[in-house]
Amino acid sequence: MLKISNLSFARGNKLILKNINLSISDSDIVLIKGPNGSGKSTLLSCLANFIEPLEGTVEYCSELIDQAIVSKNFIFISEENFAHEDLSVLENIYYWLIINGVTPDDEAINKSINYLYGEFDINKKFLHLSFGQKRKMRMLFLLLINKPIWILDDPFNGLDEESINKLTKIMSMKRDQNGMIIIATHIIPELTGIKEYNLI
Amino acid sequence: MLLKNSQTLILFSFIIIASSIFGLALRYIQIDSKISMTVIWILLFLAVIIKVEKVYLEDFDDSKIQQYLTSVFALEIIVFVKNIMICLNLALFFLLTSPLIFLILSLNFKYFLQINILASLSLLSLVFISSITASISNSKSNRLAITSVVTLPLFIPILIFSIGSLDMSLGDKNSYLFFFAYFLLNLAFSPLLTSFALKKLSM
Repeated sequence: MLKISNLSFARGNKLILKNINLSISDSDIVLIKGPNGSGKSTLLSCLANFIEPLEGTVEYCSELIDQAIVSKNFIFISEENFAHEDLSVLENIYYWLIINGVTPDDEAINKSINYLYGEFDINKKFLHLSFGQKRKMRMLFLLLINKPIWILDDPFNGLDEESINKLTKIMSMKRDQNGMIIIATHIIPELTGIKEYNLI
Repeated sequence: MLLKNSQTLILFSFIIIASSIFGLALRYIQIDSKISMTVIWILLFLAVIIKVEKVYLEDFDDSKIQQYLTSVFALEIIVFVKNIMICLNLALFFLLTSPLIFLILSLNFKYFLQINILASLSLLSLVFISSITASISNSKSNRLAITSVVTLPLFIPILIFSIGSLDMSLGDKNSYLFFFAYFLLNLAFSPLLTSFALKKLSM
């Protein structure tokens, strides 16, 4: 269980998050909603321990989160692409899997690529992919890295309808495996039992 | 990306062009080998600053730092590995281009091996100090970027000792020991400071 208690965050003199209280259990999908600038991404960054809150705590299984907990349990997919432009898709996959301590398995990689991209040249440089193809690559890591908590910042942005459906299906599968998903987005996925949290 | 060799090739073209201009400009004057050594080290210093800045700008944008922070490796280790790779990359290119640089600057080839070893050792310190500079200038706040100049004095001992190593005669092991000791000193704090700056200033 992830428990956020009285969380506040300020950047300079501006209070961005004020007194956030939220409990998220295994198998929960929580949708963080709110207008632009309401602090959705900031909240996700606090949850992943990237930035220190002004006040309040984030606990995972009754322990205050630290880098060890985050690296063991969290996958964070940000709004921006994190791939290296000059490396091929395959090289990028290898690089980020190794960074995440996962031994690359060619069979699993090919299977995931086929599922997301269909026929696709994995030796193509990331730089030469279309915008949508680049966005899809972030989804690949959800399939290839096995960690219990997914934090996704605007995951549907830039994806076509087919890819949105695939991502929704992947999220549903994760929930069935007792995974916890926290999403900040404006697009509401077609999934039942989603919990919503509004940031005003 | 770190191993973008075309970038390093451009940097070494810059070193060759700059040393050629220097050699041409002073062709009627008997060039002291100390001046030539100074030129090499200043050009090397500039190449390191440009290379490290470029690598850090590309490899440590905030979306990548987020991935490193959720990875199984500490950011300090990632910084260390990247720095070592930059050193190897630059040292290899220096080794390949140094015969040409020696010719242009009329340096005696009997110092070839010693100067290459000294350059490789000083590259370690130069890269590790530059990584602090690069991580601070990666900062989201433009006001903080200027504070990266506080690291510049750390380069001075390297420049002084590289020139001083000529006085000690290049075979003297003390000059190597200085560069090695200075690298160890940098190794003690540079990855920590660099990753701290990346975490706190770039996110």
